[in-house]
Amino acid sequence: MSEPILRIRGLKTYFFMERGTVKAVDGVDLDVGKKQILGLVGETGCGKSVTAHSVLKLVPYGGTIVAGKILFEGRDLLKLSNEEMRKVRGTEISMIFQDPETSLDPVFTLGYQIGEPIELHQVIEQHLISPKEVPKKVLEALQTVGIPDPKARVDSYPHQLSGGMKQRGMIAMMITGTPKLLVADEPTTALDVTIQAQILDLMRKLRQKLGTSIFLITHDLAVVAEMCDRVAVMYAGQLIEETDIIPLFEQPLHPYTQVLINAIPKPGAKRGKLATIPPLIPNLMRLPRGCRFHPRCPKATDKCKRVKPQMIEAERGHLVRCHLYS
Amino acid sequence: MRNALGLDRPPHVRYFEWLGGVFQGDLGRSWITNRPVSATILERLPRTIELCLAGFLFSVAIGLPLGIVAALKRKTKTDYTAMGIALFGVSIPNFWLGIMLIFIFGVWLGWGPATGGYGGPEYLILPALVLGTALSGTTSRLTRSAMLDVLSQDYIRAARAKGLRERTVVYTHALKNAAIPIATLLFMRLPWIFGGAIVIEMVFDWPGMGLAMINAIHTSDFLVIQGIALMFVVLVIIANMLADISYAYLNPRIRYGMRR
Repeated sequence: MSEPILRIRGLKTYFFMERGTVKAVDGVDLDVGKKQILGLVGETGCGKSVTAHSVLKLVPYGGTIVAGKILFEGRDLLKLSNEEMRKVRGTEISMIFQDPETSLDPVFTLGYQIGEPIELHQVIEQHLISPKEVPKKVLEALQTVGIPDPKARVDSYPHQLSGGMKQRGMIAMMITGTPKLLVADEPTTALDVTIQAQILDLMRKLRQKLGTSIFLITHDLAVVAEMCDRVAVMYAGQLIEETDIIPLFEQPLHPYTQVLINAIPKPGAKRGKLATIPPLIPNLMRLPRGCRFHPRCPKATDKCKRVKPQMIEAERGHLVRCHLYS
Repeated sequence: MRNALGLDRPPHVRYFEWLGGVFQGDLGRSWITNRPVSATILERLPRTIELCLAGFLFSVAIGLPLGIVAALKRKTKTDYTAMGIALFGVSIPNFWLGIMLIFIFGVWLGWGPATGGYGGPEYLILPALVLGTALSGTTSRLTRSAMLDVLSQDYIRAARAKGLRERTVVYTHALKNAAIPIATLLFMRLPWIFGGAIVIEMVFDWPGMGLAMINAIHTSDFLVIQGIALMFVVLVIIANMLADISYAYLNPRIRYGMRR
């Protein structure tokens, strides 16, 4: 693989609360290759979303990136000033959000919101185009994301659009600068299944057309199977497995990944209860000693309770954090 | 006399006579001066509105920036200081602040009219400031909570993710959204200013409706009291209407519905 476009090293993002410190991201290493779609999966509250936001340095209120490096094309984003980082956002790195209903500003028209980054980055900052060309660019962005009747949609307010159109509109707003990296935080979770398929399809086309790498955060393994080249599985703030897409489904190594894959209902399987994991989402303020997954792990041994496992390369290109493979 | 005042007729008849007059713009005559109540109101209403408007503008001019700063610097010393000022503004009694300001600026420093009264801007500033102070406390708290609410919304994060400048994010996106609840609630607070105006007019000897009302109360000039009270009711209704109109104006989700 050529030099990755994004390298995350030892990223730690903590939330300092009155009742204690939440280690939402606790030492994450990740690479996103050029034109690659990397999936980051995990259950609610495992820190995958915070990881995504850390890449753009848009950690929600109360959170701080305390350690690590985020190298984007070799440049450490964490060393950039706020103003430098702002110029990276929307031009080189963009983000797609989970909920199209709330991610567009309700008091501005879609065209205005798409025009904003074009006007700021391409007209004012980089002098690439003249102000007169902005409406044309807005229209182009809307056409790229396949919004029906784009001319009419320019003057629509978000509440006049359907959920799928809003999501397309939001994507249009985020790709105006032809970003090299698109961070997609659960882009399809809030959509119904048919729209989901359309949006995933759109993201694949964007990669083809713009050459964009995609860092896709999701909890939906079906989306992962559909989209990703490589997958990282996150649990309680750490990565526990990272591999290419095929081995993940055919030969998952970590017991957590195994249960996750088993929990996917298979067509033709015998009717019965769905496979589940014991419902004990770890408290990120008081993590278990040893392996963070051991209280829920079906294969836990005594060692797991005492010793923290390290990430090891169990097979070529297949990393896992589990004592079973050391 | 009894006949002129209508006291020889039963109360409900008198009431309907009065009400009938109201619809024709006749609010009766003062028992003391025999002047039509409507003439008194017409003379004094603009002055009261002038005072209330100036006070309202003061409260926005002080409260809005205070609230925005507090929201942006949430849970810092700046926030606590701003909210401390707000609390001070709300708690301090209107009339006392008025008297103190007259004392400091009028008597002590001699910068303005020490007796109050009606005239140029120098007469307006102090009473408007006093009237605005109390409401600015409410305004700043309101602005702070509305801004905090909006700033945590996804579309603000999206605006930042587009690489917009922080001042665009705050003053274009956040403020325009926060303006919806702020404007609505502020207009609904206007009646409160009218109430405050009655006291302030008294303190500053501002010859508006409030002062006329207090004088009328002292002389038991019922028709004047009644007429002015009615005028305040109308003002309150207008304030509520303004609240509704501002809501529709600022919120495209409503505006569009109206056009159709």
